[in-house]
Amino acid sequence: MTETISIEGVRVCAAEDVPLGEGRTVIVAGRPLAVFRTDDGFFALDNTCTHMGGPLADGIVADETVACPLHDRRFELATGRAVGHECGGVAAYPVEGRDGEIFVTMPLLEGAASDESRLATGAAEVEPAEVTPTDGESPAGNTG
Amino acid sequence: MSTNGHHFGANGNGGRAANDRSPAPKRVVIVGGGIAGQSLCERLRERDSDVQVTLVCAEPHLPYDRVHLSDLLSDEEPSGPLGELQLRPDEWYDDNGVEVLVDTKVERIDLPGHELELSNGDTVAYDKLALAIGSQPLMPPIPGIELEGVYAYRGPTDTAAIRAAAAEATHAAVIGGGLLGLEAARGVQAQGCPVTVVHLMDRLMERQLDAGAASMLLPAMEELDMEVSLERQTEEILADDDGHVRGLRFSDGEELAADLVAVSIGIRPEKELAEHAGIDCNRGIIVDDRLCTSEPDVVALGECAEHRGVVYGIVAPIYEHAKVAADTLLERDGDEYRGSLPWAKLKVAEVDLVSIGDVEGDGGATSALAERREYRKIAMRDGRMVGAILLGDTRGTEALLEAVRSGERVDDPLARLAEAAEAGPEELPDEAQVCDCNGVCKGDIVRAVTEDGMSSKQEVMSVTRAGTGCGSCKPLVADIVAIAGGSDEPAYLCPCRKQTREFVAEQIMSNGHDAVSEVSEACGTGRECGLCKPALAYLVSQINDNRHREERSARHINDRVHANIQNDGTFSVVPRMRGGVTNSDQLRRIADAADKYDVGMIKVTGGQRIDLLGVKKDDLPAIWEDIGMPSGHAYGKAVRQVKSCVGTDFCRFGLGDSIKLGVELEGEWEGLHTPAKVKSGVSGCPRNCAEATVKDIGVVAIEGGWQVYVGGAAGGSVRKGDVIATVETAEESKRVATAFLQYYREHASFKERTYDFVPRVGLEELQEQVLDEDNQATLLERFRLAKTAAAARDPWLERRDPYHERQFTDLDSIQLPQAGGNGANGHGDEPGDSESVAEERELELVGPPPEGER
Ligand SMILES: Cc1cc2nc3c(=O)[nH]c(=O)nc-3n(C[C@H](O)[C@H](O)[C@H](O)COP(=O)(O)OP(=O)(O)OC[C@H]3O[C@@H](n4cnc5c(N)ncnc54)[C@H](O)[C@@H]3O)c2cc1C
Ligand code: HEM
Ligand code: SF4
Ligand code: SF4
Ligand code: FES
Repeated sequence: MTETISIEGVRVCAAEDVPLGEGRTVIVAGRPLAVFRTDDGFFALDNTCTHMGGPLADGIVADETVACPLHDRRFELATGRAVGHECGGVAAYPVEGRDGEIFVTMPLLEGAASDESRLATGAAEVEPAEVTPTDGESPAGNTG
Repeated sequence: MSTNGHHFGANGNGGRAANDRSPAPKRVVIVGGGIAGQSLCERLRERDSDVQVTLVCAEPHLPYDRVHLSDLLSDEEPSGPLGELQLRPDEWYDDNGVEVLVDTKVERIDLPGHELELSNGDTVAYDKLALAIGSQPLMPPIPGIELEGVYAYRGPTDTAAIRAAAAEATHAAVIGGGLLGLEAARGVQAQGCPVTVVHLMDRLMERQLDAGAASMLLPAMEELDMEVSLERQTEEILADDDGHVRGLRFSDGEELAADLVAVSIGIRPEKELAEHAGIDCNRGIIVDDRLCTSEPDVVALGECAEHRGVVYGIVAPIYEHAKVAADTLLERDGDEYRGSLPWAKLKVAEVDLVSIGDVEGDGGATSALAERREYRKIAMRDGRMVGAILLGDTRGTEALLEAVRSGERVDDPLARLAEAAEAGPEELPDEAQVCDCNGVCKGDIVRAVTEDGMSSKQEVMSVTRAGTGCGSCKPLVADIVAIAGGSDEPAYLCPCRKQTREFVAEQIMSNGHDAVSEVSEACGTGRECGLCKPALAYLVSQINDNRHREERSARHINDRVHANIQNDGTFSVVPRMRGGVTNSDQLRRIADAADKYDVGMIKVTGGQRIDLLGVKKDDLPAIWEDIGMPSGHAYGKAVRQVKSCVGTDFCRFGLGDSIKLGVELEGEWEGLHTPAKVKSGVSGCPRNCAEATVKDIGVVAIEGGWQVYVGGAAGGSVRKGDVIATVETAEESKRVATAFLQYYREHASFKERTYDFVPRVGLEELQEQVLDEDNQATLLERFRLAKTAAAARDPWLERRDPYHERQFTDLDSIQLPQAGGNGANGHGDEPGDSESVAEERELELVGPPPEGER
């Protein structure tokens, strides 16, 4: 783990850009995030499903989870934790709304390391250093 | 009692008096935190929540899955020393009241004092003791075995060392061509190091394979670029000047250069601890059928135990041991242990190989296909099945395991072998063990579904524990759950809240709900996992005859953007082409659009239409505009196509105008959503070129009339449709087919294809509902209502009138200042930061689309 930079409060969209109950992809510094809007507010996760890289932003959103559109793996909106499967969780990012604009805080880590399992503990929010940049390719998804 | 302070629970020292009356042991200590020690903890806790359980582990880890150690060799980058192998999360031990001492060895057992001496100087008292101390790798007593660069293959430390060495080494040798040796060799290769397997015997895996199978395994391994050197006795491991290994010397004097050597020639059960205490040992610690050692308060299990003269080196018996040992420790009646069937599966991804039991026998049958590297054998003894080998094609593993376990009597082994290959989960007997880790049989799973009302694989797994060990049986568990669910147990529309389709339909009708969110609000349907929302959306639309309030958030992405999502996140576009009839103008527009939007592939589908694959989501509106044809609904649960043959228009055999009927039917039905996709076909004569008899709805022209088929399928299931009616005119056939379609729309469960629906409801009932004049008239009336609303609009017209400004577009990409270049950049939390970011984004907007966008 070398240098990290933490990006606080990047404006990603206006509130009305995301339809209620859906998600949209936004690529921040080359990293695809999924921004969701529910009755409880906005959430941001890594967009890339840990199973086979499906786009989570295109998933079906329930009260507290989103289900990947490819094979229905579920993730908690607030934490990115894997729900009912063993593919591991995704990173979750703090989101803030101000005057109808949506801001995401994104910690970035320099240098690649396998983050899958550690993120599966749902520690993404508290341990920013564990988030790795991706190159836009889907991860290997090699967990059984 | 003891002097150490690690007791779990508060009553460590009290209660001796009560103890005198109660025969139940108060404190069980388990020595050894391998799979055996861990399983025993779990079996004890299942049976008794009060008994104190202490687990003493010599290794500096919580119990982990040794079986999958090779994951640490082959995985891209294991996270931590154990990767994903830890069997239970840290919290498990607290949650289950199990005291664990890691990195602590038991040095001595004081049998009379019922006390253990630990490596940290403490002592621990026990009422009952379990020895689950496993085994050590066998190392040949040859010169050089202690050299640097020579490793055993047993634990995470060895594995990490091999991994690190393999990344540097120029050539590796693995001594031992058994199950583990081959696995280790493959792991070394995964690190990019060439490898030679050196084996003493004249064939690989001689303990699990007969000569025939071994002769086919050899080329399979060689094809993976693995060198195999047989009949090689290593006499010495050679050192270079620095005391590091440089090669092997064999008994014939030849040498092999290797700067990494992994040894995997077998195991030596750990028994010294017991032996020193005076417990009877032979190869391992001797146990009886209750797993009791020569000492009444001490059991042994796992790889350290010798039962009826056998020491097992595999994991499956351990789960059986743990159950019996738990009963013995708690002084409960239970099954006796009678020994286990040895079986093994080679964990080398490219080679499928299962070996079961005694593979030689005194006869049997073999089916071998050398060119396909397939070798399947049943071994028999005295007319009963005693073993099997499945190489290259492991279908029927569970069935054969069960047959060998039960000693099935077989008259025609070759036929039995063929039968096993066909044995799907349906054919498995109820007693067949599905999950070896937890000893769960097919019958247990079926009962969880049919008697306990579990409906999802997840629920069944958590209740029966099937699939929760290694997970290798999960697909089979899922299949069995599906089959068991196919009975007439309620299939839930919303499994989370256990709500059936009927219940939800009733709620919608009586409360007049016309939107999914209303139903969710009122009944909770769809709020938990959301996966039933599409079913709910269909039900809401169907009950309201398509005059519902559409909420796209309840639809699958396919139905939000009217295209089929592909595995890479792009979409496929299939325009409507009624009856499979098109013209040059359409083809030209399709061709131009394909060029313009750089379509990945143009494919003629099985349904006589054209599929443009690899279209980006935000190109969808434009490509539809250019093509100018309506949606083919190829992405939804909807009426797909009506395939037709050329019929009387062109065909010399034609008896009916199949093109006309096909085009008309598709026109009448298109745009309607259905519980599952509906594929149809019209054939002009019984030669059936449009394959109408295996469609959900099919019409076939015959001499003097038309036959209407329903419930056919030629996909994952193959079913010939049933003739619901034979009628004289094409018009009549349309009415029957359409009335059936509507009845299906109203009564099928979501995702229930007609091939399940028709047999479930029964042909007679369907004929009653669909052919009866009054019933037919009302069905057709409701069909028209639904159709008028649905057909009002081709969904692809949403390109001009999207339901949301960003129906087809994602958010704009954001470019940040170079991350990490200099630490301070972008670090601060002054408000200015986000502004500078926003500026970057402006720049980005005018630039080219960023890399990495799909
Ligand atoms: C690489 C590899 C691959 C394998 N693959 C397969 C496979 O595919 N299929 C299969 O069926 N089997 C396989 N096996 C075998 C399987 O892993 C073992 O049968 C099983 O793990 C044995 O479990 P155990 O708990 O009996 O012993 P162990 O896992 O050896 O556990 C014993 C534990 O007790 C500890 N211990 C020993 N003495 C003391 C003491 N005095 N005090 C405290 N603790 C002590 C040891 O440190 C150890 O942690 C494989 C084994 C290896 C090494
Ligand atoms: C201790 C009980 C276990 C047993 C007996 C066991 C057995 C097996 C076997 C025989 C296979 C090969 C399956 C096949 O090729 O079809 C396998 C595969 C696999 N198992 Fe396990 N396993 C166990 C525990 C675990 C655990 C705890 C995990 C996860 C933490 C795990 C993860 C996997 C994975 C990812 C594969 C697929 C490997 C691949 O594709 O190469 N297993 N297991
Ligand atoms: S089904 Fe009959 S009519 Fe149609 S093309 Fe085939 S032979 Fe000709
Ligand atoms: S057969 Fe399977 S792989 Fe082929 S298109 Fe159908 S679902 Fe996809
Ligand atoms: S890619 Fe997400 S569930 Fe398969």
